[in-house]
Amino acid sequence: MKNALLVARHELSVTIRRPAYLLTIFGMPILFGLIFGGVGLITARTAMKVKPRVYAVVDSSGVLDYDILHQLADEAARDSVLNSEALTAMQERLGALTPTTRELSLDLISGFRGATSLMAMADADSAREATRRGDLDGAIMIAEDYLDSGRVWSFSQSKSFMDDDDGQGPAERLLRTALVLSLLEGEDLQPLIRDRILHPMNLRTYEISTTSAEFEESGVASEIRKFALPYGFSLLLLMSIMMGGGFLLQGVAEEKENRVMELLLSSVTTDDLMLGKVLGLGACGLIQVTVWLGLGLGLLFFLAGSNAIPDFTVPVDLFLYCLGYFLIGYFMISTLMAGAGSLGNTQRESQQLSTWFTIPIIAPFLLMMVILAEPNGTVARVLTYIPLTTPVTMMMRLPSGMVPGWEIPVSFVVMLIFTWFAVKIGARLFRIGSLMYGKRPNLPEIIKWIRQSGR
Amino acid sequence: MIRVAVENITKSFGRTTAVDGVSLEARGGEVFALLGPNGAGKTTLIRMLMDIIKPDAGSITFDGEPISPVLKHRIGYLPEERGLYRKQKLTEVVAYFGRLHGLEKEDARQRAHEWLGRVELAEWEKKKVEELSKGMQQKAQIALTLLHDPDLIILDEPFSGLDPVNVRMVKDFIAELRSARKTVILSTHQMAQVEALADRVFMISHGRRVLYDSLEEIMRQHADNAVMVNEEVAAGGLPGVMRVDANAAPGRLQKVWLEEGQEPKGFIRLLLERGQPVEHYELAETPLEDIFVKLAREPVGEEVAS
Repeated sequence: MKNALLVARHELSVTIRRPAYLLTIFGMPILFGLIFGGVGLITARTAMKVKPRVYAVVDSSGVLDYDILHQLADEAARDSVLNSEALTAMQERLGALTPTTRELSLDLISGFRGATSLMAMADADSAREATRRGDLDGAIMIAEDYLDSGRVWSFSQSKSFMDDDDGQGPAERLLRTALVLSLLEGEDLQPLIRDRILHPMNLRTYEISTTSAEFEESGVASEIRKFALPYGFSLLLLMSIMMGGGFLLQGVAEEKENRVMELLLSSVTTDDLMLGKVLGLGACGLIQVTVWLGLGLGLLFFLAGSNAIPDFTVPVDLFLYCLGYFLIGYFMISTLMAGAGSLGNTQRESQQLSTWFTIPIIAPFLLMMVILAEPNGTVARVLTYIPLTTPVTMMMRLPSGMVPGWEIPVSFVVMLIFTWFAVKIGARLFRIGSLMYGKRPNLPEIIKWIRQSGR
Repeated sequence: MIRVAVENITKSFGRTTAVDGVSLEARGGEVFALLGPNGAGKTTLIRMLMDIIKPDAGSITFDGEPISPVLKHRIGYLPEERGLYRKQKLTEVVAYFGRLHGLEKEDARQRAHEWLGRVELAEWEKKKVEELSKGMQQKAQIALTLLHDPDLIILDEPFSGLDPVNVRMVKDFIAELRSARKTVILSTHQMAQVEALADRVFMISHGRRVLYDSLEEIMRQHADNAVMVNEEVAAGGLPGVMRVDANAAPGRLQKVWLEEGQEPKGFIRLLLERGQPVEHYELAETPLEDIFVKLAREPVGEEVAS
């Protein structure tokens, strides 16, 4: 054990001083920053050039009160698409940096505020003509018999501007409210009734848990609360495995290539060596992922302040389960990676062998939609009990609150049993593979090795 | 000083038997040479000694005990397949191996410095391993094998890649270890080094022991009844002569094989009596190399000596 820690410390200290490691750990965020910054800038520049959309309204019925319409349109123009407070806060922080960022942030923010305005026109034909020429984005006509029929026509060059993806475009919402207000005008109604006619439902939806007596409000916060944690852990697991496992594979294959292995094995047992490597290089992967997470969160806090993170509490049990799946999953896969790393003659050969383990880890991500839609469906259940896919699958299933309680301990037991085998198999492969040079073994040979070294 | 006892060990890989019922014993204060043609099972035997692979049958003990982590710290092993971390600094690599052999951090660093000085690599301490020549890397490997002052030293081809100056240095190290009563197991194909260094010799061929005795005894047993004389001597046809080496180059000594029962002492008397111009007369020795080649060529190893 002492030797395992010694190996772990050595691997850690050597790896984190490597130029390639430092380049990845600090270079990647810079690269991502540049890409996203560039994309953001281009988007902002483009958005800025978008003129406010202007629509003409021709009312033949005399029902519409143009004053109300203009007032509503002005209000709408002032409101931004996004929460304006958050945007202003972000602008202040960016603006505090340098004059350039101040200018850029102004561009960025005004770009988001593509407003819609409605203007009254008397003549239907000239409104249509202006739309055809492109001076107007559209024309809306309220029929003479509006009170009887409710008929409203809209004209535009492309698909009806009245609709957007929600089925209700900003122009339609504006006009609808203006019509209701105009119709109510002069009616002697209690203010409360007037409010209810304008906003008939103030809907809040709740989700009932099948496993506890609690229920919670649905919405963005609850979705984040439920999915951020498992999704974050899944992603963390995947990234750590890719990074840490990569180092592991590389380290083992490098030792083999450099013929250091036998010297090492003269003083350290294969089990200690493998454990040390899994711990040391695993730590390198974790450090890397932690630095990236830290930088990302730091940037978020810097830009938007604490109000950018929705106020939510993390359910302790979910957190612990995720942590458990993460740690066991990581250990399980790392051991297998070390075993695979020892089989190849070169790093490239080892890399190819390792895809056997990386694909099952990614599989639940590819099937994420299926798992989320049916957390207790066949696919989700089958993936839960295939050891390599267990961690990510369970992390995706748990937030639904529909997973029967017994599946959690059972899945842990399955994983632990498999991990025990993985350590044994990994160590055996490592013991034999690390000293074999020459032809890369094929599957029957690998199986033969595993069986033979058991004796 | 560690007494190594190997009793009747066997190891197979699939259908091939790499080591087949081998026994040997190596003691403190001696250089024990381990010989064998390529693929004879030497490396497998050494790896079993080092507990890197386990024998299928038989036992290996060190002073009567099976191998343990503590005991491994008393062994210095220089494998044939060897290399160093290429991207790391020389002292760091050497000190790391010292630590793996149970040395404390400062001690390991201090000894790495000392030993790199002893193998004349002091100037290269701070350089990366990949900047060193192959011979320098070999010397560094020898340094890290001996760094922790082991009691049992297993050296597999320690001379490969070294120039005569460095070969002499390694030979001196081995002689020093022997006088310090350490147990040295030396595996090499360089027969001249074995003749110069070994106390006892073990040879394995096709997984079996074919030779196991002291060097003197082996040389004596395999010696031909022959003498070396200067080329002017006309030995052919003399009584007691079996055959004369016809291929002797001009100016070189010729080898004369004597009939069984013909003593070399009596033969020189005969030569002088007959007035032969004897300027050089010595007993012919069979070089270890010839013994090796003869044994290696025999189809399946039957134990020859002792």
